[in-house]
Amino acid sequence: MLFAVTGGKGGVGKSTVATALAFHLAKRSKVLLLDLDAECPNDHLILGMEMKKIGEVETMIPEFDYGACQKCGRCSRVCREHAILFVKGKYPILIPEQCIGCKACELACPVNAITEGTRTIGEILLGRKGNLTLLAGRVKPGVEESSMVVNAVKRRADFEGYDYVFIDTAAGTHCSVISALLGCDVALAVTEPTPLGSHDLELILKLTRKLGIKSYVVINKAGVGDERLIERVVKRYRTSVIARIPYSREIEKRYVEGKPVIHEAIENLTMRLQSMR
Amino acid sequence: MRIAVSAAEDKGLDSQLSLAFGRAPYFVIVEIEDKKIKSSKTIQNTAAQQFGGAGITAAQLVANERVSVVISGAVGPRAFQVFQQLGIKPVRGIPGTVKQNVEAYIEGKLQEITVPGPFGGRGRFGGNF
Repeated sequence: MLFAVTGGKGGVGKSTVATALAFHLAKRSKVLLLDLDAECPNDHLILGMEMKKIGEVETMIPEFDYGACQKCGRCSRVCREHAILFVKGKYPILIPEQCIGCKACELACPVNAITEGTRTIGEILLGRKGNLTLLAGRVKPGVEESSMVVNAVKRRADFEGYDYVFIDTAAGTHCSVISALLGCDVALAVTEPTPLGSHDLELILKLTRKLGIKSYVVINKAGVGDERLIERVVKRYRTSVIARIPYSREIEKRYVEGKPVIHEAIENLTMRLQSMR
Repeated sequence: MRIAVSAAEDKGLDSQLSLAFGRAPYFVIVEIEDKKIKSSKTIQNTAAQQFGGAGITAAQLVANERVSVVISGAVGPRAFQVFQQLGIKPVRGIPGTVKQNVEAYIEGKLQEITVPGPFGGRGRFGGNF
């Protein structure tokens, strides 16, 4: 069963919850955690894991054979990402950052002057500690399309043989979060009892509803705000609060030290997850 | 020589300069001969409504007009890159009409844009938005 830990709002506690769950369950079960916050993967820091690069994520970019090129401009016309600049009478110019590797240009070229080159847009990292395996994706800074890295990590992951699989998504509701969520059975939407928390919770629940993923709400930093804000959203989206993690000094201390959180609320949540399998 | 000037309006040489390049509504293409304006025409910037990469398409548009200089309030990183590749000189315009900018350019009063950015690195001052 694939559990996604998401939430929309940044800094609400997704990685905190994902690593805490993985850490606790790994004491007695085989756990796989996918850190798909590819622009800023942090889970290895929280879990104190040494990560090894096991692969690069490459995307296709066109390579032009200017000897064969007829300067017809067809490649530029079919490119929907505006990655190929064509000025009449000149050879086409590639803007690599815009290219998403769809290969339309290659197909459109009437003289086969376009071949496939590669561009490295990220890397895949692996770490292991006891029963816990961490697979992370990291986008090369400046690359615009992080969902390609997210998908590459998912393809690389071997989901067989684990008792629990968690996916830690990025903040937000954009395409890299969607790519991370696709295929998940249950989503744990982490939020905080504040107006910002409830606003963003609604956005993520709208998304998981659209994707048809059953969601439960985890209230992090419980006790510091007004939980009625969250309850209203929970009711509206016909879901339930599956855990309340209090704002506590001990949790704060662990977080500040970059260590996985240990708390009764996490243990209780793992028991709820256990019953779902 | 031919110059493209980003314009906020469709009033030809009397249009106000557009402070953006990629999403400027219009470009006025001006033909200069013997340091005088010989002719001009206005073209619509089809890139203005584009989802992304507007600077690239706009640069392509003016490049196809065979200009060697572009006058605009500022030029974004994509368009700047394209201009460098094509040997087109981006020049910082001054608030005023297209005509005033072209004349200022002819008199050597305008500066070349050396730093790309939404407002040419000047922050909020002098932007349309």
